Amino acid sequence: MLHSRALPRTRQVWRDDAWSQLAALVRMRWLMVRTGKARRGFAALGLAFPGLCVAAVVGAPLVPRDRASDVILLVPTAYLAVAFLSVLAPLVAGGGTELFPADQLVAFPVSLRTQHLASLTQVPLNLAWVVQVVGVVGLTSYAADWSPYLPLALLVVVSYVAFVTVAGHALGWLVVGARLRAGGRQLTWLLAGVVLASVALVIATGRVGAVLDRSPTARLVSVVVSRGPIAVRRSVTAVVVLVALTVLAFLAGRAATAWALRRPGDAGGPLDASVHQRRAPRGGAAREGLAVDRASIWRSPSLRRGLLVLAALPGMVAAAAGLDWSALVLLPGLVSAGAGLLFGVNAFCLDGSGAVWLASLPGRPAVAFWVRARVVAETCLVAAAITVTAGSLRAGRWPTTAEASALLGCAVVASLRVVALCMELSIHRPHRADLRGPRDTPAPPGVMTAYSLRLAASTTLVGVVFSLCARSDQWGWSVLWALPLVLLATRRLVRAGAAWDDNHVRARVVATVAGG
Amino acid sequence: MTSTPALEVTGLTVRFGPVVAVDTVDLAVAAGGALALVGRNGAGKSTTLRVLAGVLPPTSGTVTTSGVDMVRDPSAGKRLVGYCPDVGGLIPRATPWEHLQLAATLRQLPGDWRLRAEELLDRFDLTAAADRVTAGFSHGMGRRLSVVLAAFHRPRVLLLDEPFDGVDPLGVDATLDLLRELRAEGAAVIVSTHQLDLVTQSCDEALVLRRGSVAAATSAADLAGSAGAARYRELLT
Repeated sequence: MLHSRALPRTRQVWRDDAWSQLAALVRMRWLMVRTGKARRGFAALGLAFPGLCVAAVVGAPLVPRDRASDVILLVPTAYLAVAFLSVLAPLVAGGGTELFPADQLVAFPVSLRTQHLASLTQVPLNLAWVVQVVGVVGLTSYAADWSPYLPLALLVVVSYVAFVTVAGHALGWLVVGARLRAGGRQLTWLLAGVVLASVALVIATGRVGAVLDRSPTARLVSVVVSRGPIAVRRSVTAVVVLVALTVLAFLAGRAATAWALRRPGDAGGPLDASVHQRRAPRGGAAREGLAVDRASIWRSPSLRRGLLVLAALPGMVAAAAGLDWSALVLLPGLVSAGAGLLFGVNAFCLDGSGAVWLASLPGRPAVAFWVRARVVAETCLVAAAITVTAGSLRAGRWPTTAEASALLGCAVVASLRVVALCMELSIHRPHRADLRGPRDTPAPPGVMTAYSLRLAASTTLVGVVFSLCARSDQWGWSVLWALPLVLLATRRLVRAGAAWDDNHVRARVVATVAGG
Repeated sequence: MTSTPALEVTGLTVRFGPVVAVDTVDLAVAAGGALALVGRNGAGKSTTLRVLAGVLPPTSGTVTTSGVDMVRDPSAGKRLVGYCPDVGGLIPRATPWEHLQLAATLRQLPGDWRLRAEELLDRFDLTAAADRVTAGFSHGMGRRLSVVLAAFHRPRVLLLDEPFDGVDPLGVDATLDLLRELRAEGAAVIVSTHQLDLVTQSCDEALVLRRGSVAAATSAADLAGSAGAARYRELLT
């Protein structure tokens, strides 16, 4: 007979211990990484962040100090950029990041505190955040310059990063909760409009520098670079204040998460019940498929939000920074990588379980492949075009022929490389993801980090090459670089298309995206 | 019922690595005939139907639909087949009308497909939801729409995988009516289901699958009632 104490009571197992639940979820996610190679890859990825931070601390003071004052002037802006990203990333992600899609956890009593904690602990998986944090750690180390006060300076900056990250999450969940209230969507759009208009006004009136000079982070930098006994007192005070603020932000974030996720409608609601006007048939399998794909992207909350941010934000930042043409050349590559991460890395997941039905319809499989590749390419090119157009508003002059050709070359090559890599990944590494929820991503969190690394590395390299071409006087350099790179990317894309033509490969992709 | 098989399967085998999902299955369905595929979960029913629909290539064996080899020419075969998958089977952010429009284009249906589409949506009580994205559909609504999509082009072979799962009685009636109508037009039907009472209502013959192989081929009527259910249970073990 089963003893009454043989099974622990549910409350004992799932008491409100967010850390225990988080550990269980992380363990489960780790178990789902099936191959040793992938596990080693993820472990290396996990060690990369602290490793890069250490490298930044050790390496930065070795940089020549002939332009030290100029570099130190940039530090407040770099700190501000971390805060900006810490606020923006959760907003773009729909509040935070999930270890598992919400629909996979419905049967488990995962607490809202766990969801908040899980989202926070996944912040280091955001490549942009990692790059920014490593950057400010390096700049801080450079500013402190091997002085005995370096550990204190680093402690200050780590406390600052912790605070802005935790506070950014709290704000993200607050906005998600507000949007679910009556009139919340209108209110958040209004606030977003006010913020965008203010930024546009600052840019248009040429007061970006003046505003940045008044950044509260300037005070923090003065603490970091201070010397003598006062440095100890100021640093300790700063750390104590920042830690206290972090604790407060953590508690506020926990409450905001609960407030947001307890509201009905977070998992879809209005979209799932939305009615769409019938359109005329497009005449042809490819055009019809294209129309369905475009609608699928726009009707997904996470994709729509990502597209809007990708279209507006990089251009606005470029305009605010007043980048010149040779620097603007870097942007199409970075934006293309972001566009690929929206859904391109698992492009066939747009079909969800409908992939099985689609596979039973007649027609050449190649049509479905090229339609999907075209949709990914459209996303990359449109986002890149908007970014460059917005950024060019403050470039001050028309581009030279060399700059224009470099810009065009970078946009075409980077987009094509992103499309080729995305289609390759979509075919050889499919994942089940229906992108229905507000925080759904096309692949699990760690995989997305690996993908973002691959895409960013590839497109940054392209950006650097064409940026150098833009600095030359000859437009021919861009053409010379673009031709082989286009050919290589096209070959990769054609190979992916050939793989898709294989019935067995296609069946595996369909089975995976349709149901796992 | 004519004697010429509209669908003929010989030696069908599907392996997923070391797992044999379907093991040398033979079956045939005449035009106007209906066959039930029954068996425990994981017996190979859905895998068999996926192969017959041209979604999954078999490891070995032949599948012939009205003289067309599904393995060698899946595109031609898919024109003759209508398939309702077991899970979902719907594009989450497309509306039923967009599904039908896409199917009409890919199947190159004549211009009057809209009449057929509206008639089917009406029969399955989906007219009011025709322009809503399917992500918000209940399970039963999704099943009903999958049946509509499978039957839309009046296929010569209709493959329904769990079409009654979670469907209300009116939806079940609509499905049974549609099956009768298509069979009268000469379609061969295969239905996979766990509901024995519906097997007897919708099919003539039944094939019991067990661990990927055919355990028994019997008349659907033999599975009727409590005696049929008892016999079926014996065949499962």
